[in-house]
Amino acid sequence: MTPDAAMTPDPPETPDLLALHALSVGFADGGAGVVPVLRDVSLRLRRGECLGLVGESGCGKSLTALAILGLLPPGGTYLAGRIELAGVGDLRTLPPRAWRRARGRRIAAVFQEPMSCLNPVLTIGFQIAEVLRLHRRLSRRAARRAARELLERVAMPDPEHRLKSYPHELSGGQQQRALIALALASEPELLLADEPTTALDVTVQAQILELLRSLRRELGLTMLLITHDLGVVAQCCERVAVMYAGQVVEEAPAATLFDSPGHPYTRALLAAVPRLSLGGDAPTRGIPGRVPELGALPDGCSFHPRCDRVFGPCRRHSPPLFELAPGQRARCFLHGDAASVGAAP
Amino acid sequence: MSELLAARGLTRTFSWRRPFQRPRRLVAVDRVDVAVARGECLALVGESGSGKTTLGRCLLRLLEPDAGELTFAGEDLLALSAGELRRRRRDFQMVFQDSGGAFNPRLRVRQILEEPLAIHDLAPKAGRRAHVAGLLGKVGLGESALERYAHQLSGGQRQRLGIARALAVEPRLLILDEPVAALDVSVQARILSLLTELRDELGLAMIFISHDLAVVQQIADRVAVLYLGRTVESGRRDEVFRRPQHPYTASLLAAVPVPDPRRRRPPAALSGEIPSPLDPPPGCPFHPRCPIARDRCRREVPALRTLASGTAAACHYPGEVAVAVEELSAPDFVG
Repeated sequence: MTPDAAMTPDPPETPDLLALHALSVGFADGGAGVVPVLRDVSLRLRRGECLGLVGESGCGKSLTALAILGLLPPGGTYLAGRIELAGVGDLRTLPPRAWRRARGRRIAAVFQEPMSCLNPVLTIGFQIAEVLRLHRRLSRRAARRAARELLERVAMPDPEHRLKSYPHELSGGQQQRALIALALASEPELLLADEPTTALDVTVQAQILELLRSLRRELGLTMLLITHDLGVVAQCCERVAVMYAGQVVEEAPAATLFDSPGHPYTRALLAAVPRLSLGGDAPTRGIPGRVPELGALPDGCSFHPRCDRVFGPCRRHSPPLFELAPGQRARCFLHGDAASVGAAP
Repeated sequence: MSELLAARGLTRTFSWRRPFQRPRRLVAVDRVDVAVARGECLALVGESGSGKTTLGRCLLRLLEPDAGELTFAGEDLLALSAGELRRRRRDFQMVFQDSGGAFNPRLRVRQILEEPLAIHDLAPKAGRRAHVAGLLGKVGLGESALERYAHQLSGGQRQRLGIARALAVEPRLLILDEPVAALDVSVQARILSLLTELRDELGLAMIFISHDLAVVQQIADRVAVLYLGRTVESGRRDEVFRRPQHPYTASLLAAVPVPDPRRRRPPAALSGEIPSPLDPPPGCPFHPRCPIARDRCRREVPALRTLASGTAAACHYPGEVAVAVEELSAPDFVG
């Protein structure tokens, strides 16, 4: 998709494949209390698009993926909100078996550490064939043939040989390719990719990103790409959501977000990204202070202690999302004139 | 500029034997030259397995090089005895990537910073406290950190502590191994500006080991690009970034994701991955992945030659693969 096409809002009839409505997730803090780690997270994934979810460590971006999958770590609980998957409704109201079936067939995930997702004592071929036999009811032989095709699809070098390899025999990039093949085995509609290239060298990262792009193009995959790297987002995503301290603080088409960020945190994050460009020679700027502990959030806007544009209401009230432009929403009182969408949490 | 640290032909191999197998030999660093002057920052750049960390360790004799010369301020470092080396290490210190594992978990920040002062007998016992507080201030940590343990600090604070510990003995050279790789960009930017300040203020020489070209662009004066243990290109930063001579450097630059959705990059030019250093390809080590490899590249190892631009490149056909220069030189604008 060209950036221009990404700028224009999609016609309303484009159906959402997945929509989070005001999802809140908390963790038991050891005592009787619950610490909220996702607060009022609303996201929409339109069919065929790639939505980038960015933020720094601890902002809740990975947890959002786990929440969608129904795989909250021990101690985590859903506090409120809905996870709507097209055709089945709110996943949270489904019986566990139905959620599991939806997860296996329609949603697949690729994580940062391929080694920790692959079974170390089974061959790559066996692991892919297992999914094919379970979800697509293929025979042993058909599953093996399909597994080989999948490895070819993800451009694994020497696929026939690699079917018989164990995960540790592969390089990092090959492991990530195997994991992507595994994710594709159930022919999912939605791929959650959590930092899929973070552990890889930059030349291999470029190859894997290109692979993900070609899979979207050819299979019509919808993708949620979770990353801390704004470069990766700029190269891959049509829309971007920025998270801070468990909230989505801004959501916008990619070009809009990079050109005219609406939230001071987004602007600060963009200014901190190191760039290759030499001409400008503007040094990157860090953000003063540090991310607040989720158990001890400041009053008002969570970002206000670090914000360079802080004023009256920021210290007392939590800002709602304001609509700045078609498709661009920011959780910041600077845009108080704009129409607010949704109530403040 | 006179060189503070200079290495020539530095080589380090690892070998091991397993039962019923022939002994294997891995050349991690292969005849590498390095030179850094006072107040200068040299970046060692490469992907995993390029030998950049091993080289960094050899430069301090944390690992013993097998061959080559190594001098610090004109003195032969390889000739020093262990005791002499320990005393000399006051002049060159290292900051490690894994700030979680770089500190004794049982020591408080105060003790961590007093230890090097005691070892090198620098500040009198009574004055050490003030000295330590001064160090914390220099790296932007408050005195409230004094009685904490390293694990109670955030990643960025621990990296500051690592820098403070290295600075405690007033070194003339810092070797930093991926000092910002594990940090979020907002913290990364602050550590980089701290390092730049320290270099300007103290006239420190720095060797900055990193896989991240965008970070290197922020801080380095000169850049050496390593591939399979060899220098494939080295020169002034601006020259190397604007007109890379080695196809590997050009590919590395082209692979960096540009944080601008209007400048989407064409598909990756470079195929394959860095080969195993146990079984390096014959000829030019880069030829299996090189977009312009020819017969000669498969047979003949290219020597590192200095070109007219002042950049040195180990390539038979330097400058043939160009990156889209305007892409790099146009100032990115953040509104």
